Amino acid sequence: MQGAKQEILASHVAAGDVKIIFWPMLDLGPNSTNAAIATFCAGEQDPAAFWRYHNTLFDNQRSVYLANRDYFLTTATDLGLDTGAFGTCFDGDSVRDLVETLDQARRDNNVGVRPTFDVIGPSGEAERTFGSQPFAAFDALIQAQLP
Amino acid sequence: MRLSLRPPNLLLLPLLLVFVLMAACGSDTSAPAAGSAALEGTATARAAAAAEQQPAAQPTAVVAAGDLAYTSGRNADGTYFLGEPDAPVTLIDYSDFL
Repeated sequence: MQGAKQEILASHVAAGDVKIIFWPMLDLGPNSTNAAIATFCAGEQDPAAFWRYHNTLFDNQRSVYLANRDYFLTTATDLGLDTGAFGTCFDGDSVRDLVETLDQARRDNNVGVRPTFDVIGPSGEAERTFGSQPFAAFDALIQAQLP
Repeated sequence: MRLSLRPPNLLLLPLLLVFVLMAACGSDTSAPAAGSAALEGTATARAAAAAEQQPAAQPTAVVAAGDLAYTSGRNADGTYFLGEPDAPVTLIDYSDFL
């Protein structure tokens, strides 16, 4: 969705039609989990920081693949977060348990393809799509769900 | 008959050395031998392995400023949203960071 994200933001999010939720999948080894923990720890300090951290990691995926603990802490520092609090969170169990719980929940919901998108309307029914899609595809799903 | 051994001309020796060095440093336009290509491949593999053991590169990109223009918050299940909390449509992005 990264490619279509800016168009979705500029159109549907800006109009108040859509809110976006990021749901972590922990499929690709320890740094899948570490990256999710780091991002959720950023969110513990400020929900906006969650998205800043999320975007930074997606813009630097090759580095994230090889990242160690210092990488995640340095990223937090560079984004203006409290590094001490971030490190405590990163090393602790609370957020780790949360991301693992979320990961299990998506498995229970039969989400296995990376990425997967659910577009959920007011009725609670979801239209699901898979893989990177152009904006037009998301737009069609969103329009179909708008009241 | 006695042989007389003249000492070499000391002025010629440096000149000879210069000429030898110039010949050795000349460009080689011929195709590399197969053996040297294999060595280059090995060196490349070693460099790649060494790079993997180096600390990861530092991030070079900061979040796009556009996202900060939108409301963000946290849901009861611990996930985070971007956009108006009462928006009629929710788009869930299930993704791995890798």
